[in-house]
Amino acid sequence: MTVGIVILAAVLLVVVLDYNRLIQKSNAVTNALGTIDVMMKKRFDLIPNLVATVRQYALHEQETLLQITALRTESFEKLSMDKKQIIDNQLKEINRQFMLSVENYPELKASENFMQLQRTLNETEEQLSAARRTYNACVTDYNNMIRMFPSNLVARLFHFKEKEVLSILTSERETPSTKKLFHS
Amino acid sequence: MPRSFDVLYRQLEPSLELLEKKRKELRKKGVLKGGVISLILAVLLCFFFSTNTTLLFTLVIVSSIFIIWLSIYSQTGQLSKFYKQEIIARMVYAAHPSCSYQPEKGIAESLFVESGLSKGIPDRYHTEDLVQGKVDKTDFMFAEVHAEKRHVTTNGKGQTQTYYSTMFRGFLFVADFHKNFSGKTRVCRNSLLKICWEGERVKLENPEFEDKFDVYSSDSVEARYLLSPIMMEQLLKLNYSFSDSLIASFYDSKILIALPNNTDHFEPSIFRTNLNKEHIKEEFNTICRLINIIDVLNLNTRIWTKE
Repeated sequence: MTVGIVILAAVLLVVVLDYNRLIQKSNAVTNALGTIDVMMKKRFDLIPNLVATVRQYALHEQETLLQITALRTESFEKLSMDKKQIIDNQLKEINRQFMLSVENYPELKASENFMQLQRTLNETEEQLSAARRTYNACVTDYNNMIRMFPSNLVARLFHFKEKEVLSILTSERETPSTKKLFHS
Repeated sequence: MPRSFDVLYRQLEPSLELLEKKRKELRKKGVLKGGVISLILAVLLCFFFSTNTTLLFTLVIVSSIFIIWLSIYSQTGQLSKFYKQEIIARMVYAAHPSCSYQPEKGIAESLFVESGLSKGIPDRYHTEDLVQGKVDKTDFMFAEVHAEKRHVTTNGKGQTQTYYSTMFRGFLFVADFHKNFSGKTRVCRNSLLKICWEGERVKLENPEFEDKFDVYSSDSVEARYLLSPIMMEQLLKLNYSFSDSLIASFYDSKILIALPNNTDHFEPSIFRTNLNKEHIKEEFNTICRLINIIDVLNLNTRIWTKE
């Protein structure tokens, strides 16, 4: 009888501890996602500056200009996370292509505004990358708990689902072609 | 700038010869002083141990050797002053002309403690041989640091004994970091027990880096911002070039790197000749390797908002 109570108490303790740890790790994932959101907003807010700088020096980049402006039509807070992710990826891609064509505009390249903007974009990019790495680390930690014994049993009992890590864009996986770069 | 060591050595040779002359003079002075004291002591000992010749002889020999050694050693200060001013200062300038050398100064204890490089506050802190400079856009400094912890033990009779253990001894390198940040991130040696007394543990993706270090930070996102994949590689490279003993801290917009080393650098020997090309080369290489940390870590790459 006593042995039975002890075993039951031990099982209950494991369930409670694992449940709390799962909640803790799940919250860490949410928190990390929030940080990505903040960083994306930071980059999103740089759009007006980018448009102003491009307009001043690179009139031929009308298409880029229109693409960038179109991304800024909605309020960032009202967008869903998926939409934010899509916009962020688009902005990243436009920005990447634009930075390649900057060589054609020596005045733009030399302007104080542009240099400052480029630094800010680099910094935001690096911070965003750190936030993504943090998110992925949190997700991996959380997923490990969901898959490992005995926490996998608790996770199944309380319907904790695995989360997906963030992956990079297909275009970013490609090795940049120097030939393309010199003829852009 | 004679970056090539052979050119530098040729320039230093007259000063090294002068140093050698000075060393011989000081050693002679030490022997004379020690000899006189030993003689007086021998006369005094004769009065007390005149009956036991063997004991008297042993005591005179042992005490004379000790007194003469101590007397010669006490002259090191004067030789050290000349060596630092004439040899080390010129080597520092040759390594990088922006550098200045202040032998009596060092790195503040507060910076060493607040950066989190030391586990606790040292009870005895000694720092010297400060080198300061600027390589391109990066301000830096390094100095020798010896931090010790006091321990008091009490035996059965209630007698207390105080002794000091070394917390850190070696070079402390401080440089302006090329990214803005506000928290504190510590890169400690990997240990079995991940005891975190300040900040949270940050697991990073590089397995080799994780194998060597444990990272603790007040902000995990900021830690990953600072320790980018390339920075982890660079720190590993630096770690191997400094006998796999590096620890680091990112604090107050600076990177602090502690490189443990038991050798007392930039000190001449009064007992041996200092006209030793290999030894001088070693000291020069130490200075160059420390300055080179800026290039290894790419601290002059200023593509972020910090200029």
